[in-house]
Amino acid sequence: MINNRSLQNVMIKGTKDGLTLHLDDSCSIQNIIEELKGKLSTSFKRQGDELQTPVNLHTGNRKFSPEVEKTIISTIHSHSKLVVEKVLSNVLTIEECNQRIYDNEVKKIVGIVRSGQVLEAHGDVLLIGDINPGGEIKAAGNVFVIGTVRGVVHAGCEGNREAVFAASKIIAAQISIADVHTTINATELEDSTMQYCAYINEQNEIELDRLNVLKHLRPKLTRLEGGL
Amino acid sequence: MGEAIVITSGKGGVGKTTTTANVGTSLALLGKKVCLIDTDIGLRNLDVAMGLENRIIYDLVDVIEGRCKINQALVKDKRFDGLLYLLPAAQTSDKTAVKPKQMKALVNELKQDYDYVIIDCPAGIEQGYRNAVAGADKAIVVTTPEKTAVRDADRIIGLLEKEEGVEPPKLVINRIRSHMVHNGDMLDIDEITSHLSIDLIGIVVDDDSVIKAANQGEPIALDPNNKASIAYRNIARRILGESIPLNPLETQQIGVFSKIKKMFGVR
Repeated sequence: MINNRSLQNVMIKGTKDGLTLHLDDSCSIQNIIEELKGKLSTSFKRQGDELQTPVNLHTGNRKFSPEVEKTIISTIHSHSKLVVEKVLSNVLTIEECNQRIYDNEVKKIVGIVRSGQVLEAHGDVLLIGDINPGGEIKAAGNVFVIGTVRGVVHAGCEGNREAVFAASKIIAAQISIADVHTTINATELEDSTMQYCAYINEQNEIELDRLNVLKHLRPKLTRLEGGL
Repeated sequence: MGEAIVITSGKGGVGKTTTTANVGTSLALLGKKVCLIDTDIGLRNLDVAMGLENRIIYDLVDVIEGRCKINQALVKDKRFDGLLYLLPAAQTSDKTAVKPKQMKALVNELKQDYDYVIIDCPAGIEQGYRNAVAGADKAIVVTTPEKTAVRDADRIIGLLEKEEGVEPPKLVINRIRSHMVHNGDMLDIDEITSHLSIDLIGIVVDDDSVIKAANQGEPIALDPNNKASIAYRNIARRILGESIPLNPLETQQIGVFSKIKKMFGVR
């Protein structure tokens, strides 16, 4: 067992995605480096100008500091023909985790965006209230409004052309998605009582359509676990 | 300990000063001890509307800079028995002469002695506005049924909502012309309230005698039979917590009613 364990600090697994080096997460870094040197120089020895083989590195339930990661990668590079493409881990730092939450956040606001107020978000926005004339919502993601829109909406303001905008009532609005802009007046809409959504169509224009087309246009908007 | 109410609008010329003068007068008529503060430094008006222009000796800036005591600067309105006072704005300085912190201290001091401190705010959203709002507990936003005024009111409400220590503002719609609303030429009350979505505290009809009264230095609220006067008195009673129904045509109905009463010689 002891013998076996000491040999298995580094495991090389081949899947259909390519090779992965699994590093045991309970042994010392020194052991890993020693074993990498031994294992790789026998099985993946560099021979002449042979093409380099891409490989993923999986560190299990452990996260290495950038310095240690560098040492390991340079060990691999200097002792074999393998090139590390990605470093995988089961662990996320709090920073990375917060970044993910931040990026995927749906900002919920109850209230009215009044003249001169700008509401900014890095993900989606769900406004429960109106946007009054002179008020503005700027979001990197989608914008949803349960209320009346009379102001300015900019969805996908960091360049996401897939972003959409939906509202329960549009009276007069200036809508932008990514870098496409348009203005809308209630008088131009067929039915001002209907709920509308806006998206960029194939002609690269903002199109206003019934809300139920959204499901087919942007299937990724649905984030439902389980089923209906 | 009284409360401080700031009267503001964003846009100029919608009737902030008139509203301040009349609401203050109405509160004094109801027996409350009221102090009016004009914060429009450099462009003072409230003293003129109240007819107290000639009696100003010291002003707001004198008090702030310690040249006099508060009581020396307060102008007493002789029509009321020690119930109504005015702290006038300076005419020779500008708005930067006062800082919000100083205003707050001043208003807090006045709140000890008065039931209501009514602050008349200058137009705009700069220093003058920040000074006026600094010490306020409550806010009244005045607007007229015009799109421009409603836009500015919306902006002001947004700023007031961010202000700490100020209760959600209440709305006064001033200068309603019922025939124009009736014809659809003017924004109606529902349109304005649904747009601004804050509570309405009063509706004042447009009346020529308001201008006449202001020119004479007699706030219209002193006239018991005028439509606009009744509207201002109702605002004062609502401030005191009485529940008086808000009927868009309230002033007219009461007007008719008082006419009938007059016919029978009842006053």
